Amino acid sequence: MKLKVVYFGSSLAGKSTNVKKLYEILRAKSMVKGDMVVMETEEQRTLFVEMFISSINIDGYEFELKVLTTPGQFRLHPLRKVIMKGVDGLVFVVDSSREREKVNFLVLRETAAVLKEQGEDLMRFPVVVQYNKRDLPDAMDIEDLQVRFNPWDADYVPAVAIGGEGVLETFQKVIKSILVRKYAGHTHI
Amino acid sequence: MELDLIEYDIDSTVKKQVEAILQKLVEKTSAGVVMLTDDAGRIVSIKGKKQEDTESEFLATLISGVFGAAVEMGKILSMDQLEVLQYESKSMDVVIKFIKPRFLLGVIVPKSTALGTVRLFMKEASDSLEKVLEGAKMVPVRELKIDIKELEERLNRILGGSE
Repeated sequence: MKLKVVYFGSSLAGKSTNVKKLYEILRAKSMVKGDMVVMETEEQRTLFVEMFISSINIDGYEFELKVLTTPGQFRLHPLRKVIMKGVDGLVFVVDSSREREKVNFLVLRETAAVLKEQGEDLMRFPVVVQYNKRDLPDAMDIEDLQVRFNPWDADYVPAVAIGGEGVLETFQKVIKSILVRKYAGHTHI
Repeated sequence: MELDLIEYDIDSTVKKQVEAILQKLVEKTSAGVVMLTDDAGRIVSIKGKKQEDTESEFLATLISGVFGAAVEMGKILSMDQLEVLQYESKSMDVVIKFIKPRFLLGVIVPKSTALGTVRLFMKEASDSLEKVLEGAKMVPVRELKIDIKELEERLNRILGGSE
């Protein structure tokens, strides 16, 4: 089964850091296929996309996960729309800093609009919320962040992605969320 | 709670027809690669020197990405629906054509093949593909029954994310 996972969030929230760290971790576990593709500007900001493919085998059933980031800068909005096409699951990387509160919210609203254009409803979509940069001195309380940025009451993960903290847990949760919410043909209680 | 995970694919008859059309296009254009993807960059079928591997997966994502970016540019410029995107290098050319309802046909050809010829045969192939894909049905190809708790434990064991 081929799945597409996209990390979205505001500019400098840590999307690329997450995906690069995840690639390093999974590569060490021999769970990636090939190299990571990076298309960034001279200032190491994402221009178009960063992506890699991970392969996970459960009971002989292979899950091939294409992991991508969207560019965070506002001027690159048209490219974000392109990356989101056909996405199976999302990771919403939230910058915990209080000063980024408004920008985080704008990205959430914009992402909902992009998905709507594709006929999807963000509120019913497999999402994991990652509260990144928990080590910042002005980091908002998780309770406050939950009220503002987790309208799904989805799984959330506190993280310091630059140190690898919470990176793998986020990935694990988004896989579960996709399989439970989107790809389960039938559920038996 | 038990999950019944089902993987779907295009039915085998349609798949064979698609493969035959792509193979014919390879032969007529001497293409190194002929690839049919969906608009999200998932490979439906690939023919030529490359097989369905990691590099091809990236190629498929970028084919759908650059075409999608061109579509967005077209919207800003109020262009009509984008049909074909083409770019040239010293050694090879790439032509990407939209296939209804939501597919892309990507062809990578050597410089020795005239682009006019490529586009002519791509038009022929795209007409056939649209006809074939119109009747395509998605059929279940694999199934995995697993309890949610068990799934979580397996993922935890394999990935070790919650360690």
